[in-house]
Amino acid sequence: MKNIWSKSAPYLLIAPALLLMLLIIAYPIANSIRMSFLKYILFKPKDVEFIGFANYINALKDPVFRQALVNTVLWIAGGVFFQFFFGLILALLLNRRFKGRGFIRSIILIPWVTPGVLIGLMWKWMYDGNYGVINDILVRLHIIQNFIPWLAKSQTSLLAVIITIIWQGVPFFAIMLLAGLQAIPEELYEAGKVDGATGWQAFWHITLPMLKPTILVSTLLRIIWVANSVDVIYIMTGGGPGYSSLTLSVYTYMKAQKAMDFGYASTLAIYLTLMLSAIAFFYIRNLNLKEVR
Amino acid sequence: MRKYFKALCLTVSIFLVLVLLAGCGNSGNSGNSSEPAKQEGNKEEVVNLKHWVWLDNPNDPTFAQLVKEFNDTHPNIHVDVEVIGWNDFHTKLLSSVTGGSGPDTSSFKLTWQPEFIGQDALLPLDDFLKDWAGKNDVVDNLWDVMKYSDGKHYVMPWELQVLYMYYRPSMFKAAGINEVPKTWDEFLKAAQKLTKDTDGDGKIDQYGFGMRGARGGHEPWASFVLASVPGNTFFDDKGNCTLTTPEAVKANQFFIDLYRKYKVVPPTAPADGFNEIIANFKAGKTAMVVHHIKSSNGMIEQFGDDVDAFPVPAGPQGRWTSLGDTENVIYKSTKHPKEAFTFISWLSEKEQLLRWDKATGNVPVLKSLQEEEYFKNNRFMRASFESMPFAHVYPINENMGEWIESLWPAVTQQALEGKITSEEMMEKLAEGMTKK
Repeated sequence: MKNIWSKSAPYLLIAPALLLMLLIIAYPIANSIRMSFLKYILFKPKDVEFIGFANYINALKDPVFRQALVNTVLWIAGGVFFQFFFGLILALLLNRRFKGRGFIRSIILIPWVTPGVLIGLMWKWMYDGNYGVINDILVRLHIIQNFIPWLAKSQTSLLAVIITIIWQGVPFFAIMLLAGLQAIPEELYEAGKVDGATGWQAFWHITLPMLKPTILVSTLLRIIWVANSVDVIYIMTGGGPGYSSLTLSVYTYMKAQKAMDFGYASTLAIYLTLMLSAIAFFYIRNLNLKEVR
Repeated sequence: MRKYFKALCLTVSIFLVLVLLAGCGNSGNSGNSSEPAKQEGNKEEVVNLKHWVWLDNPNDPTFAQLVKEFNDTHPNIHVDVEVIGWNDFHTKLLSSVTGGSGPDTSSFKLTWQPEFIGQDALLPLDDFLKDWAGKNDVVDNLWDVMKYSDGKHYVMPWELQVLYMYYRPSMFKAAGINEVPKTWDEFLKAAQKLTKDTDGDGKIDQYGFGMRGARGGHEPWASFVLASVPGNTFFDDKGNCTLTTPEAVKANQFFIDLYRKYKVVPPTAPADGFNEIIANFKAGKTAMVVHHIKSSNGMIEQFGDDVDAFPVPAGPQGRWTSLGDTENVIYKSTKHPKEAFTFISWLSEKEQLLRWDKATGNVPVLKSLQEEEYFKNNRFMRASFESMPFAHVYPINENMGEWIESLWPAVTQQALEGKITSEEMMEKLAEGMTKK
């Protein structure tokens, strides 16, 4: 009797949580997989039918999907790399002792706590081709002659939204990496000094390896978030001009919310999920977490 | 002791699971069972109606006051209003009606009809309209515009806006233009004169026209194109889409050239949506812009007398302008269609409508109201009335949601950037409009 109890207790204890998880995570995922095999347009409930892989094949033939895929890769690669790069610099700066450090540490969080919609609206006006402050500054510095409609040209629109997402994500990396930096024991640097390591060598051989687990986890998280983010692009450009700043997640949103085509939207979402899973898989596998520890 | 603790935890967790399960089951039941019970109890007395509405100005108490008055004067009906933001309205309405938990009545847009009628969710109003006193007072042609393709009427007219051209008389004067343009050719000439460098620094800082290349720009755009199409319609008598005809392609080229060749619109035009075109006009960046009467209060606030309006110019085949609309509808799921009609027809009666249109600045849908001094003396109302004879709505079919929201902006922006030709743009638009 006692045996059964102690064996089943853990399962019973996690049952409520598990049930909730199943309800709010597993069911929607299963349902979107199911919908991706259906012709499912919300306002045609009578025409719902099983069409196998037709949605998946149609997506591959869809030129908009292909452009969105390329844009998504650029969006993730450009966005996350520079967020990390500037975040690391900021973290290293904030790890030094100076007056007012506490204050600065809290205000650099502002971009991260600002809602995406607000960021989109803010940057949209900053980039504006008629009154935008960015144009104004660049003209005053004589870097450009005339105002550039950044968001109205396909050459610049994707770059413009990537810069915005970089601005948003830098504080996240700064705070995560700062926490990592502070966990590095001082003795390592002292030992390095005794052995005659220069500042650069100390950074390369002590700081970076010790930070590796933090870097891995935070970039992986950020890749997933950036890939899934809709608000900034949707507000700033709506994916345009043309399809020049359309990412997979924005395309999915439009197909689901504007065209009400849930079947096709689910397919797009699953392509994105597959892509992210592949990234996560190789990431964790190739950069072995345990080895670092 | 430890054993007891374990047992306690176990009991608690089992209890929680049960509560969770019961909770799910219960809410489903109570939703279904209590409602009829309530209605049975009050069968003879009060009928409850749920009405969904979006408000352009959520701070304006007029709608709530009207409903309160209705409830006071109709003791047997009680209307509960739920105000839902415009951005979510369509999605929320569609998903809840599809899921069977929609309201009894709601505000509505003509273009949504296929989605709702396709699933048999709207109640035809013809039987009720026969006996409605205000029927013949409704503006000419409106019943035709609102007739669905099956010949029935599903909507009760309520709000109207007509797109026309706003302009700045002082800028026209400074550019030596004495008359407002009547045709698109005159419009181009005026726009060219109005596009200039006003402060002498060698840079253009005033443009003739505020083009809307982002979402929502399809409405002013159609005024350019359909003015060249015989009959001014998207589909000809045989049901073929007219957008790919040579006349339409040529008129579309004219529209594109305003940006690419003549450069009489701001360089930001492909990305400009509602906020931008209005801001540019108010900032004096543009001299003309297409919008409807609901912008007029803001414009008067900004410019006083230095803003006026004229109907959109004509092309070789006449004029076309876009009619903005909001109606009220009844859902088939309602248990009280008669009372529901009493409510939505009451909203469109003369007295209520006068108050509503005064508060919101809408164009009255009743002829008798257009004769009121209040509307006659307003120059923007006048431009709206003048535009009524050629005001139409976009074709109504299930492709149009996506067409308006994403296809039109995307292909227009591509054409404005020179990535596709006018012809390719029109082919894509026609295909998007007619696909099965």
